[in-house]
Amino acid sequence: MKRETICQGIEVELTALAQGELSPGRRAEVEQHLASCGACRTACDEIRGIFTVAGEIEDIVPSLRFKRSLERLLARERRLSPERESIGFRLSSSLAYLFHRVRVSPRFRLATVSVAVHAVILLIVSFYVLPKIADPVMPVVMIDPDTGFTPADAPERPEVAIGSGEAADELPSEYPRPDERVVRFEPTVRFPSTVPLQPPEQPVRYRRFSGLFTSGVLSSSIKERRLAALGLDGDATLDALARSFNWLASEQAEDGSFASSGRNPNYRTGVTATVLLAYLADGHSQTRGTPAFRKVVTGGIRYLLDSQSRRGALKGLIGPSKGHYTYNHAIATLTLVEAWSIDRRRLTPERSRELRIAIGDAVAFIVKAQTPAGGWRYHVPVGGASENDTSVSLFQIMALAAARRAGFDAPSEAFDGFTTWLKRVTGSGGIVGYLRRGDRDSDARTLTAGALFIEELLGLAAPLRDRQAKLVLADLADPSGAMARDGLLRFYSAHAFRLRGRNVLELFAPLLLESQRANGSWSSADDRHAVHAGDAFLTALNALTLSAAYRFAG
Amino acid sequence: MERFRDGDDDAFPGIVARFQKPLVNFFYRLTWDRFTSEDYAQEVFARLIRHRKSYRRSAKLSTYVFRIARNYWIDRYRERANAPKMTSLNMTVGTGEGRGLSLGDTVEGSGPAPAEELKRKEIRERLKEAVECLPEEQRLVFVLSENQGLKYAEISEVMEIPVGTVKSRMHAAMRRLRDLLKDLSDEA
Repeated sequence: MKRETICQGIEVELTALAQGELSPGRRAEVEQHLASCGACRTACDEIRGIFTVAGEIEDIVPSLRFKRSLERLLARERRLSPERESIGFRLSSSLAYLFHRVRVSPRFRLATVSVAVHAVILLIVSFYVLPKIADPVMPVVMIDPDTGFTPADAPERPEVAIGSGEAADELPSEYPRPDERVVRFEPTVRFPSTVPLQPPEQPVRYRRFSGLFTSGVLSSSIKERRLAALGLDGDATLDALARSFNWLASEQAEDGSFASSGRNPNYRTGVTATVLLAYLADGHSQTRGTPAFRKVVTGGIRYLLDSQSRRGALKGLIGPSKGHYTYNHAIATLTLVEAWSIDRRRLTPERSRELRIAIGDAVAFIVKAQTPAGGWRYHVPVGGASENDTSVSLFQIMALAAARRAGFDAPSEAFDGFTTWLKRVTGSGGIVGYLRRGDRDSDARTLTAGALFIEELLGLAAPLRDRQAKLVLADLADPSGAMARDGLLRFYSAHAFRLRGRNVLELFAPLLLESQRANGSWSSADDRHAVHAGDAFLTALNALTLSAAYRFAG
Repeated sequence: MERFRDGDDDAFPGIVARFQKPLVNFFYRLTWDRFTSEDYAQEVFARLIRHRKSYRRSAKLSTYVFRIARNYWIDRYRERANAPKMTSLNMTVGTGEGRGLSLGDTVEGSGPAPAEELKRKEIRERLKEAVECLPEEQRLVFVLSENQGLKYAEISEVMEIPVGTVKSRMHAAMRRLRDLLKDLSDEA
């Protein structure tokens, strides 16, 4: 055979030569040999001939069927990408893969599936059913003989916070580490209820890793679907939100802040925080969402961080110690918590640590500012003075609840104290007073709505909750009444009733859409509360109210 | 790919556009079946999505994609009931007028010379069959090199073997192809 005559040591190089894989030196040697060796030259020609023929075999063009099925596959795989796969899906996929790879008899498959099912049942019985039988959990409710708090009508309490423990990483040692278990608010007075717990009419739920006002980035289609489910005009609502965010972005100062253009210029920190919260609630964060809004949020967060006191008696306070600064601080704390929470896995370690330390200081300041009566007022209490007001207190407890939910340490005593205060100002009819029980000014309805939201949020066993809901609903049902001039009432109501599983947004969403200016803002001139903080505050508050329609799943 | 790995789904269509044809043709030269090759290419894209987190910048994207393709092919190859067998000198190979002749017969023989066009077509068909007769590892190296135009160094990364092994497998593949197509050379 001719091949046998090919020179040893050269043959192995011929293919490489034909493919241009030889070094210049080696190539020259081989080519020199080919010039003098006919057998090797013939072999080289054959090899080149094979490559030539192979090159003549035409490539096929992917068919339309392939492209279409690829599109379907991509859509399916995106839905089932690893981070979104359920444990059940992974388990079934693994079993399917096992059966696919290992050729086993149908009987063996059946036996394996049977064993797996029995194992799951055994686990459920062992860890869920048996402990409940052995140690039944008595529902815990509060009772207050003075105000009429009774065990009746105690609703099921939702989870308040699920601490991941992540927030505790690298926190200064003076901050206790966040609780890693499911944390529930435990009232100080306990009474075993004999009344069956009642679920909400249409349960809504916080997603496991969402914040109080953030739920990650939602697509427009999901938003529209959820808006439509509540009977709202999806296009118009999303358009109103987009215009409001555009307007707000144009209002941001160079230092990242938003001015308090109302009667009180000292709310700059609070207005900034509220605006940022509105962006966060719509899915625009430091790392996600529309790039222009991402920039707004990043700048605003920088402003808040830079305005925090680092030392001294006011260590942790965000914003200047002027005016009613605890309002500013509470909203800023809430916003920083939500900003960190939504981006916790995407921030750089340095940025994350900076935020965690700032939040730890801010939460500690709120705890320090709580009065012995359990509430908060405009300033840190000095000496034995203990003035409280429910309006400020609601913001503080929202910030603490958000912090606890995100895994930060928010002591139960602070929640206990607030509950004590709330009981003290709640009348027998359910109306929540401003400075004391029985305050019946027009703020009372706003505060009642706020208290209702907190009661739902924390799962407080407040037996007057239904009565409070009726009072608030009566206000909301009157389009020419308080509802039209009270953004805070709408904000609290939207969230409280979403948690109660009732849709109230349909009562005032049309009014909001109608009253929005062409530039996307809302006028605060006639608003009871926003008149002090200005248009940016009310615009942000309204955006938060509208986005409550799609932030809750279920 | 880094954008896609980091969660940017919009980056993936670009990857699909770049690799769909190379992947389909990679599998086509291994199976010579359009539908099978498209199905296999589709599965490679699915694996790219599922394992996108494992992509490292140190690997060239084409190397990464073809490594997945190669692993998938090996899985499928081993499962195929009609997996190609190692050829022997007594195995029949060829189409048309050459079909039915054993290599032992055709090595020394010479058939009637067909018209040039038919001849070229027959040669291509013969080459297809010959490629299918290559041992699995040689066939992969041959297809990656000849069809995909990968350099030996790139093939070594895809196959996770030394460059020297790529070179020797390529040589072995070519030697076998020359053997299988020997009769055509003799005719020429």
